[in-house]
Amino acid sequence: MEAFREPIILACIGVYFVICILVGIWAMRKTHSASDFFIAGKGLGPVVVGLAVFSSTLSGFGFVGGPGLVYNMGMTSVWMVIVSTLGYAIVFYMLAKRMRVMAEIRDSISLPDIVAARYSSKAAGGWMAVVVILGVLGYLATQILAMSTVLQSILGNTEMFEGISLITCAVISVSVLIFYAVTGGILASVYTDLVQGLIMMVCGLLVVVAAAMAVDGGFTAASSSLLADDPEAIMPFGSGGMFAAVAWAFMFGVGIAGQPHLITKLMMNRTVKDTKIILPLSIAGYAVAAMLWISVGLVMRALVLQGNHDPLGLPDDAAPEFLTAYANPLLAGVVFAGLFAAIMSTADGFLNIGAAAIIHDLPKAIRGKPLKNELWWARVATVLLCLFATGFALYARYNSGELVALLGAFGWGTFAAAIFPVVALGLNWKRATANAAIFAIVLSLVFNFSVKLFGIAMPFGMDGGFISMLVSMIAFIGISYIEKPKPLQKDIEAIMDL
Amino acid sequence: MMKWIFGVLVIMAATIVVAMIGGAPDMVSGGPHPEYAGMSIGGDSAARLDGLWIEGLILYFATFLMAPAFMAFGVAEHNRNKTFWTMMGGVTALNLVFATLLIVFYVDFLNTGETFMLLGFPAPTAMMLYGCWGTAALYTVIYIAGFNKFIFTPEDEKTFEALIAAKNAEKTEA
Repeated sequence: MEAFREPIILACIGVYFVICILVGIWAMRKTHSASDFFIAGKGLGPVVVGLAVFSSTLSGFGFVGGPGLVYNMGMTSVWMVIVSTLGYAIVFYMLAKRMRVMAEIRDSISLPDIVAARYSSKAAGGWMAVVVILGVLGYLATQILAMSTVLQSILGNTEMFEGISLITCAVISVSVLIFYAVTGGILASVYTDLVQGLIMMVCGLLVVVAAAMAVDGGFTAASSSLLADDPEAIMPFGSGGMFAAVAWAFMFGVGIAGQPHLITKLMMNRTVKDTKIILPLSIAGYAVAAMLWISVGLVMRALVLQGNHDPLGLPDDAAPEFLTAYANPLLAGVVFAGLFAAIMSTADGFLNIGAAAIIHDLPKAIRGKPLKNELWWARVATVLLCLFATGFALYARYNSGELVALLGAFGWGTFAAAIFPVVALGLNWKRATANAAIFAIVLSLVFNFSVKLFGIAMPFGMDGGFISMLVSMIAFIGISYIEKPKPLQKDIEAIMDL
Repeated sequence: MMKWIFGVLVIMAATIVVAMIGGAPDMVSGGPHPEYAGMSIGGDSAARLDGLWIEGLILYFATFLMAPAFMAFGVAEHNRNKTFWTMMGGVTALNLVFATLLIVFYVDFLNTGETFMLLGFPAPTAMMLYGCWGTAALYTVIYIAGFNKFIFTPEDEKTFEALIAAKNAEKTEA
């Protein structure tokens, strides 16, 4: 079997791509309106939404960056995973009911729609659309770059595709993404998420077993190796220290309720009662898939410390090296397909909310009404957005280091800081005002981009996104307390009373 | 409840400012591994938290307290009854027990240089992986078990249906 490693991996990825295309064709037949395209006509079952919620949360970062961080700094980054049980619960307690009810009563099809309705402010909705579009460009570009790089490393190892360029790989992977995202909209996106989520869960389970077997004595021996070398690495706060770990815990635990690609999925389920099934499914799926994150990084660090594996060139090589050296070819193939699944499931979610912001939310904020024939424009916007993000990613890769850094700025922390107070707090607090919402959004953007552009170091290794979240929440609540609140519209008040 | 949340957020921000004024000890956020380029190390565990323990613990426990506070804030005020607070309080207490055990075992390790292994990990890390992660899943159990009582009660459902009816009537009139 080892002799056929490369063909097996290619076959797994090929099968995965074909599944995505078939789902796109199937979903196209069921997509008849903009509401179908953006929120699946509010008709999705709980299993589909549950797996879609977790698979869009766990991007390529979870499969490559996560193990890399554990290899680099031990347990510090594991707090991002540990708080997932708290984080998903926060999302559902604060948002699941209100987002779904708001979508029904106000016919909202996007996050900016909900913000505009909640604050009776087109400006607040418009600013939310700006956040979404900027975030989509940044996030999407990094996902596309990751997808192309992984495909290049896989194809480049084969005789047939030796020396294949990054641009060619970008064209191949983006074509598949565009095909199913354009034809089937969110319906294709969530059903591919379903497949992608299942693949990720299988990967998580199998890789933990493979990781435990890779070290003599399993995880106890791996932990002992880390303990002997640098105890802090395997202690709960890792080598990054207590402050960095707590900052990540807060930012990922609370900030998950500010991730637009995730929370918009809460508008798509059939009934509010479905959230009883969606929440445990999301948590279980994430927990199983995230085991890969912890086990691979830990085991690779132990293997290198024990002298059983050469030191890695880059921490992010932890997962690919592990798969190459210690995984059965079939498992490696499934995990590489899982990696594409993780990247694509996040990317298609962003494409969807980005297209909605461009053709639905901005025109509504500027002209006061949406475009005619939204479905057609949605498809056009999806293609253009994806092509623009691809060009942006490739340009940044080859020409400008600063641009790459700027892309990275629009990560989890910026969304968390801009969206958590405005949406998660705002939908549960009648006193919140439109001015406070706009100020919090603008402050988050300025803070995060300034930190990145001017290279401002945060104290004690804490993530800038955490500081930004604190500042943004305090500003939002503080301004709302200072201002005299405007009376809410009757239906909005009734929704907030539920 | 928002005033309480606001207060904790301000305390967290002030804690960071106070910690910054005190200055950062060496290796507070780790440093490069002397042998392997892609790895970082924490070094002397006790020294890098010297003078920062109180600030660190405030942020640590505030995070564990803010999470259930946000969850409770998401439940309509009239549905936050005694049963709800008892259940949320119980799970939060259990979660905090493991968060505290994590710190107790960690401090013990810092003092003695010794710890014991539990299910593949040193005791403090095991508290984090199995205790903190696991017990927080009980908030989900409350969500499921108390869905009809706190999250979306039959009265809420009636209000929701009335809102839909009003919207449809408005559309028909238009």
